[in-house]
Amino acid sequence: MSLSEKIERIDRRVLYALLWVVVLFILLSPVNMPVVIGDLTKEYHRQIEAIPSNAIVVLAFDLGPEGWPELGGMCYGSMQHLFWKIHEKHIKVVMLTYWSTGAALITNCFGGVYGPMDKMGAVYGVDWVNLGYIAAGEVGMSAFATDVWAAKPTDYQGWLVSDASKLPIMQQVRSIKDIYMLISIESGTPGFEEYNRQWWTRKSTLKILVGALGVSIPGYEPYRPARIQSYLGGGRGAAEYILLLGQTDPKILTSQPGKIAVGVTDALSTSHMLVIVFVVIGNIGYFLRLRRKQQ
Amino acid sequence: MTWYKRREGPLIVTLIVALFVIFEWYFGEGAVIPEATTVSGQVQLFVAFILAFVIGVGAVSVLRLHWHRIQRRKPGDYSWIYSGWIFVVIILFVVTGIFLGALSGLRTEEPSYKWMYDYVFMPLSGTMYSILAFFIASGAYRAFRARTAEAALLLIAGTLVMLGNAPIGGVIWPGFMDINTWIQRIPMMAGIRGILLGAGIGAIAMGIRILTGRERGYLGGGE
Repeated sequence: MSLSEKIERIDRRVLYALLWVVVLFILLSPVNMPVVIGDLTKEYHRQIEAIPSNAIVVLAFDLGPEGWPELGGMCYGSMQHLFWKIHEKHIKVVMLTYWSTGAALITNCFGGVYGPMDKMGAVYGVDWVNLGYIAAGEVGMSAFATDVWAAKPTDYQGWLVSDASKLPIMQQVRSIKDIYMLISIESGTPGFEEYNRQWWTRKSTLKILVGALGVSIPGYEPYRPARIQSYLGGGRGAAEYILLLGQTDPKILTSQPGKIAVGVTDALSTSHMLVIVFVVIGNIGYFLRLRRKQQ
Repeated sequence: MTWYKRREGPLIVTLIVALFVIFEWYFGEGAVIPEATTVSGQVQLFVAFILAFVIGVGAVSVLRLHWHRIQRRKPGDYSWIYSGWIFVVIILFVVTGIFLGALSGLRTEEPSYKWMYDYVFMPLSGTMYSILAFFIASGAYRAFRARTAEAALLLIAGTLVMLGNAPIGGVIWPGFMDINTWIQRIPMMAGIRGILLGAGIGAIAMGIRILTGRERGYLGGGE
């Protein structure tokens, strides 16, 4: 086998091993490469900062555990950011998920399993509520948009949403008309496309922020800024957002999701660079073989 | 053919239900006819209940499939062990999630259920997803070859987007971020919008075919 063929046909196990070694090395010995905070992240942050007093915000964890390593920082950061706003502006936060595997992520997040969540004195049932899992995907979204109480009669622990003594917050949340903003952190379907069809079309002034996997980003761009005000894209978006929040409260940088979100940027950079190196090597081999053939 | 096997019944039900929902969309909004919203809402809640029930049917179906695999195991073939493992895991989750969770009133906070979710399901799901990185690296090496002018264009655009998306790209040269933004906002968006519009028009056409009974694939079976 000639050199060009050897370059062009490197065993995939060698590529896997190289990627594994490089990522492992950089995770064990981080070099803390600088991260430039992008405009989309700044806009995502600004939109949450600009939520008016007493507004109702829905925070949806539409993801499963497979998306957590990439989206965990956004979930944690957005929840903490909203708790700050509850304290500052008395906004109301409704947490929910249309993914059966997402319910435990919400409780783990506010329960401090992934790191301390500073609730800033927010009272459950008054300032915020967790409705847990809502079944039926897009149909469930549609039902929720027209009649919240009928679509989800209880919160995650079985309290009736109509019970004003336990969940007074829900007296103000009856349909999509009452909701000011949706923050959907998602790793697939149902997600923004379904919210767009069932929620935005019923309330065109609804503000929408999205946190998405890196591979899904191209699908959101056509909807911005008319329907999606801004989005966080993948591990990089999560890291930028956590760094931005860290300017307000540095404690978030030392939380477990914060550390992972920021620490993973080194691995993201090196793995991307390695893929580019692989592509270059493959093309060198291809052109060397082409040249030999022509000779 | 007996009446319950005839296809006209499901077709009529589909038409009526669809008309309720479509009617509500145009006339229920703004309380032109508030009753339309009520009826449509009830229909949607009914669908939500059916779909929740279907999760149980799905679990039973999976268990039946794997029960057959265990029964038909052959000497020397140990793949039936995976089917057995599915049985164990589903039963464990059902017992801890439904029975222990409901009895204790803790629901998904029931400690054994939570332990399995946090320390088995979470890391396994993350691992499965992260394996994609290896396939992407290997796939990029094999497929990203500048064999033609179009392929070269794709290769250059892909590399620039990668550099723009990687956190280090903006540090090496801020221009990578601008180029990435331009590629995503102009040529890529034009293509995606075209695809979305095409899909939207296709969905309308499919909806009309279903409503008029021309599209019957969703009824199951075959002709």
